[in-house]
Amino acid sequence: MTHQADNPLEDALARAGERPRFLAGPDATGPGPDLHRVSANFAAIEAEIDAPRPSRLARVLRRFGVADTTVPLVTATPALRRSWIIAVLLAVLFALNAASTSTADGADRIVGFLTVAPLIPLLGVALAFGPGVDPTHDVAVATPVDGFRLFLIRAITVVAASCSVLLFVAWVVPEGGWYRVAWLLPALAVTATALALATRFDARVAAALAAVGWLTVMLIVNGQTDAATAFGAATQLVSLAVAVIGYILFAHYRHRLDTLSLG
Amino acid sequence: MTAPAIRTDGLTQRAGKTTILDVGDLAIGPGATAVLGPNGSGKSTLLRLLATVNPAADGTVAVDDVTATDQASRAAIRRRLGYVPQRDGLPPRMRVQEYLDYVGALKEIGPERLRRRWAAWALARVELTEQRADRIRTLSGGMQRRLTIAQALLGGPDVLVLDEPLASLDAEHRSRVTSLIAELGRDATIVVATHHADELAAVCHRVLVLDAGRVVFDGSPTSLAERATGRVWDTTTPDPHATCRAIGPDHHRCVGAALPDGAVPATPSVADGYVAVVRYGA
Repeated sequence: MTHQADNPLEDALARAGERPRFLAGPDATGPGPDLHRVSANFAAIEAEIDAPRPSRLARVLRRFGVADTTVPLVTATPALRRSWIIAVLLAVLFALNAASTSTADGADRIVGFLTVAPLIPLLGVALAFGPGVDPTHDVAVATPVDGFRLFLIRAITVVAASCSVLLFVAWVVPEGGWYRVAWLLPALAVTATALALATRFDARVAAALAAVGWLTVMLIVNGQTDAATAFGAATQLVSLAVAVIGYILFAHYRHRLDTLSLG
Repeated sequence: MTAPAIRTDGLTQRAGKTTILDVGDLAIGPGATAVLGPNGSGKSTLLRLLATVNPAADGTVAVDDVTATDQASRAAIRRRLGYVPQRDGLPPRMRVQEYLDYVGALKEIGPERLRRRWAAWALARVELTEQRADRIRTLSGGMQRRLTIAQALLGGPDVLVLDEPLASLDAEHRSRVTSLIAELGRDATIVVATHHADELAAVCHRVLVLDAGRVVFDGSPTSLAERATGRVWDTTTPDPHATCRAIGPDHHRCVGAALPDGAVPATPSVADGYVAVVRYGA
């Protein structure tokens, strides 16, 4: 619409104090090049030269072979901001500090951490998709991208990001043996449950329901047995089953993520 | 290339048990169609249904021979669609170029180099080329609206659904975006909801007026203006029995059920016709 935008070549040359023959007007002799084509090429070159550098995350993802059209969907995940990662780190450290002040030993000392840890990826999923948390949701729904695929990409992104933080924290925990990672399968189970519920409810409501369910189970189990048993093999197997069922339900009701309900 | 046709078949939307839209069967396009109506008349609801964003309570939406019934058919329609929602919904922390790259990826435009070219083209159309590296939160309200329009243009869609594209724009950019819509309307099918009857609806090929969720007028801008013939007059004092708006210092344009005694009829505009239809059932 501007002179500059319509004809960047002419504009650039005018700025440089030059005026090529084909812009000289009706007095010029002989045929000139196709100005529209030249301008279009110039605009394309300018777009390449002036394009802002992709973010560090985008460059890393490309290096790892993530598909070109998937990279922007990952980097645009609302729950992937630096502030969110820092909040996750602080929350985990808080839980860890609470655990370290406990008088119990071994697995019992990190039971607080094991209870809180599965909620961290869940929180990320709640903030990854949906009209309440993603300002671009209306625009995204009107594009051909599958809502299921978009949600899954984002869920995997935030789960991977938060689990990385949790694994780092678990690694620095001085004791607890393999229980330091005993939260991993419960985290997947709780997250998959939230994804399944998100096909019917807003992602935040779904995450809240899953969180309440998890904490209720923990209250019951912790009241009846020690932490080692609570996060033992049986719990891990049940968690795996819940994770698989949750994902199957999520995939089965995927069509519900493709449009927005009223209200 | 022939611009596509949008068809609705018995299209109805409900909120709870209340019917909020009942437009029945419509055939829209080619060209630009303006949707006018008071607040709450169902304009945005209609546009969200046409953009396949919301599922209809009853009836269907189709573009050419593709009816939006499942994910595959909706995706097929959305590949031809550019949508400007009523609220911008822009991520404030993202940079302009980054946002357009993201929407380009959502629209399955690839590779990245091609997305950049579309972004450069779209930004030039809305005069935001110089802001491409800026964070969205630093843009003014009008610039953000233009960016929302730019994302709708990515990929060169032949169906454009624009909900209040002129909102927040200054007079100069309203005029330019209006010209852009008129130009795009030569090759695409455009549905545009607006309150700017004289500015935007007047350049459209067709106008639909909605009131309480129903179509109360369907015709050309000229025929809408004609609905107010003999009901419009200019005066120095607003008439309490008419709908008047100031058009200058001590100068008012009034639309009423009938011309008062002694008043000189004025040439009605599209906005006058709209008032005559909605307020006085002309």
